[in-house]
Amino acid sequence: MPVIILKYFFCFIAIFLALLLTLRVLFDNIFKNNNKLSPVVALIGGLFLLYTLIGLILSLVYPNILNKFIMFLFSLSPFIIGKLVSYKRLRLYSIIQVLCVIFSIGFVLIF
Amino acid sequence: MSLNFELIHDDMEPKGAILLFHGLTGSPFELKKYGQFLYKNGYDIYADCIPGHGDNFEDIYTVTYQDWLNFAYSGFEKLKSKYENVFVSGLCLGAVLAIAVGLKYKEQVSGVISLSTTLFLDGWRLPWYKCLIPIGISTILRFYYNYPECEPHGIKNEKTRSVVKKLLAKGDVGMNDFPMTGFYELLKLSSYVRKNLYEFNVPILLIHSQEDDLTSTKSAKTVYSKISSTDKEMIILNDSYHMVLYDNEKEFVFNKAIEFINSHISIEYATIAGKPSDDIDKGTLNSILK
Repeated sequence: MPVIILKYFFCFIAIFLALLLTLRVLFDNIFKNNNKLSPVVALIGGLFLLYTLIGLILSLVYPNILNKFIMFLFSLSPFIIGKLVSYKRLRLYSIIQVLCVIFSIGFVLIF
Repeated sequence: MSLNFELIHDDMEPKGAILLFHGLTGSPFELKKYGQFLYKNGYDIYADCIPGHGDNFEDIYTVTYQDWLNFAYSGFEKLKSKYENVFVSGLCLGAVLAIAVGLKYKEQVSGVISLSTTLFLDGWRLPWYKCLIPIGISTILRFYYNYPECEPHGIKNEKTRSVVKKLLAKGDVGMNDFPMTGFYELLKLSSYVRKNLYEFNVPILLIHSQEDDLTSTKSAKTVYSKISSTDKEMIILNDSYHMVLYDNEKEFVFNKAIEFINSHISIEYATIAGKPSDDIDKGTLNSILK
């Protein structure tokens, strides 16, 4: 039962995260020129943290090693992508990040 | 907007050269008065814009701390080929770069003056969500977040603050925001410097404000306690914020800096009360040599 709650909580955070990230990427100019929106970006940071923590817990819960590994990669994806990203390819990596979050929702719901 | 400047004595032999580095998102403009003061005291001054801080704002997103280090090293090498005495001084990021130069050229640097050294981002001005900074800078978010330059702009003196505020609004003296990528590279540079502090044995003067709004005194104390230099001094200011060169105690800072520099130049350039070394009697010369 707690695992199901954890999974739904993970999905909720991931949906919220994907949504905010998409908005941030799409409305780059609005966010850049408005300091009042800074806490929104900080909120995305907080969601990244929760996403990673819950993802890591879920990866421990999965019985199958392959699933464990995939979940582990999903949960660390913000940091892996953060390491690889460059300003020139920011758009591309942003899309990859959003897709990672969306795929992780599907993964958690299926397995 | 780069505002690079060089103050070179044409009329007399300078006592030495001082390489100045400005702070993160700043420009050489913030070093102008400090530079002029040092110039008046007989030193040639060089202050160039750190990579990523020029006319193109987007450069800050592509620059790395290695670029900053290479810039600082090449600046020092250029001066060392021309001058016997070369001092390095900087504010904030510039202070960390000055220490890095001292680390690499420990035999050649005459002294380092490190002002508001920024090894940690733990000042009181940072927002309540500052605990999320490590997450922000480790993820894609570092390209999407610019920490807004806000009150008190690192300055306690209200008159000066209002002037700086106007200049910032015009975009004349530096950037209006702190891009997270800048913080990211600064923290990587700080980490590199922290790891190697025990190798640092150059004379150093550290000046830091007790109420620094961007970085607490922990940074200066860390440098002071970890370096191997025996010739080291740390001064904690009580009536300034981060921009010590523009705040209430700026004259004190200028005087301490020149006092430090004058006491560390090679003997042939030493002066006492403005007299050149030829006029110093033997007893005084011996005491200086000691």
